[in-house]
Amino acid sequence: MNCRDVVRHLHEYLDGELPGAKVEQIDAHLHQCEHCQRFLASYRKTIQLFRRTLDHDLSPEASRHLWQILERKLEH
Amino acid sequence: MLRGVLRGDRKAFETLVGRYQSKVYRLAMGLTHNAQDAEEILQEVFLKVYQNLAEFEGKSAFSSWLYRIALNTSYMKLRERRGTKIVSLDDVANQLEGISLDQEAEWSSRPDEQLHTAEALAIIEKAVEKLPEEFKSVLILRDIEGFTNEEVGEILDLSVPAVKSRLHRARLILRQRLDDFYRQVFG
Repeated sequence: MNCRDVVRHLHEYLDGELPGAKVEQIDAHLHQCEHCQRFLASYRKTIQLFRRTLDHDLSPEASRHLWQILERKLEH
Repeated sequence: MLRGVLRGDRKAFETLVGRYQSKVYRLAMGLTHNAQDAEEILQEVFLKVYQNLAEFEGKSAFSSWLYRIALNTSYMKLRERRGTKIVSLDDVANQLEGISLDQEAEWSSRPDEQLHTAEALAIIEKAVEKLPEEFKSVLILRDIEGFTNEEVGEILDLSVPAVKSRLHRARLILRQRLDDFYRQVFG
């Protein structure tokens, strides 16, 4: 297993979708490859940051406004 | 709750709207990047749900049915909007070509308070805007809403390998944009 193989399977590795033997191969590679450790960490941090861009709920005011509009439209 | 809505029970419908409004809003915002469009989509989606709920056969989860409506409504809004550039799969291929796997992502060992800046979030938002709709949808449904690959495949009518492939490529593109940005910031 080389660095490109690790990157190719990174999403399945993180999501726990790989067979045990493959996970062991990736773990072994990560154990001795600082480059891939950092790549994995940066991949994880990217997902975290992406989540933060859309982590807002609809505000109570917007929610009230939505319901008012829906009620009005449902009357017609 | 769904039976109540079908009987015309407004209280049941209000409960349904309350339960799903933020999810639909996030999806619409993630696809359109425009708060006004997202609010209009929200209204249209729940009206369609109310008017078409009898057509929901229960073969899939209600949330999958709702998300399909929300996605189609968002796509229609994007088509209506003049000047919206449609991002093609070729654009993705070009973006992927620019990805380097050889550089050390040293920034990844820095604490979150140094990484989670407004500029970094803006970089991600801009990078997401440059993805095709099908990639954005997969990203949002998987990484924001937490659906499984199988559920995303059902909602988007895609095979599981196609979901995984789009998810991974989209994440790699976002990671590269961040990598470029942090390299400038941290030197």
